Amino acid sequence: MTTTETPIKSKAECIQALTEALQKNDRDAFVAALNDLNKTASIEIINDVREVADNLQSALEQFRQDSRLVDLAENQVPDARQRLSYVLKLTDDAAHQTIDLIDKSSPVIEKIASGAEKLLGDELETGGQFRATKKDVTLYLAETIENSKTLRDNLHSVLMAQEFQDLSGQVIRNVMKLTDELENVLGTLISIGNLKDTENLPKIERSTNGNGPLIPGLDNSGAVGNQQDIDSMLSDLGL
Amino acid sequence: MPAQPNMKILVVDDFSTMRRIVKGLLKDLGFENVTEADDGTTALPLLKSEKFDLLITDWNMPGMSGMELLRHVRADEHISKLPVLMLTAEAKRDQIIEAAQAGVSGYVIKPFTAVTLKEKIDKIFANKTPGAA
Repeated sequence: MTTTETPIKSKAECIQALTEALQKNDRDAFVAALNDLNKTASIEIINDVREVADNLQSALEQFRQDSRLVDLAENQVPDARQRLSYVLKLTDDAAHQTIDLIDKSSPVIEKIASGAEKLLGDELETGGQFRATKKDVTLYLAETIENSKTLRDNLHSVLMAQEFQDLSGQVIRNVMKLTDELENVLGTLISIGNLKDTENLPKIERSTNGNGPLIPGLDNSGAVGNQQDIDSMLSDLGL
Repeated sequence: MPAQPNMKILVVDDFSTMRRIVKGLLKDLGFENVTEADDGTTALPLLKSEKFDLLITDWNMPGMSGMELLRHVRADEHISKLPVLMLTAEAKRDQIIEAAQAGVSGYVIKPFTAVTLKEKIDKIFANKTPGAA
């Protein structure tokens, strides 16, 4: 249809023209006004559709920017899991190493103590007479020097076993940075998708496998303070 | 009947360091006859095939949890009378009620001390009448 371009009239103008044409009983003017009204309404719909399309476009644009999410999901999160399991290994190794050293040190302390008790006991038995020979005492002192050296070395190793704290601390800080970033990206996604309505989401059920330790300041709801509180609670329950 | 030094104890915890710590403390208390398991799934067959006098178990473990293990023990007529001491970081009110209802004999929260462990073991065996299984 090749009609000459006429400026788009507002709805009110169209209705005004319609009414006038009706009053004048002007059929041609009425049809023209009807066409104008039709055109105006179409333009409004087109504008609405365009707005929706624009919004969609910018949402998609935003989403594309957040392809960071893909990287996070595909690389960073599995990476973080590996890092955390390395922390688990570091702490596990350190704890075992420390317990090993304690296990190794206990008999050494036992030797020092029992040697001294023996020398002293001999003396007490004889009513103040120091019965141990110079050789016994010298031997004990020499052994004690040796045992002390062993203990000093073990304590040094216990100290060195604590270096996991520095390494694991760094790894955990990196993982915390990652969770910050995840929080940001997910927050953006929520605002794009208008996912604010969380009321109808299914509740995550607590597994029978427990929750792990309570974190001070985080999980205080329903927490029983300490062993005394638990004891009194259990005794109320008949235990 | 006080706890006997030669009694057989099963310690169940998924962390080997915790098992070593508990084992060490039990040794200091005079209990040398200690076996270890790393979760309920490995503990249950041991409990069924060997006669234990005390079960000390963590709650939160992969595989079978300590709570499930407790329920299995109480449901099995051969071992249902076994004293079970829960040694766990779980410290929520409803969890403690859950454990009590499932028939736990004692409850110690981590972090714990040697004194608490001894107290609870003594209490369990003080309550047991001589001759009871």
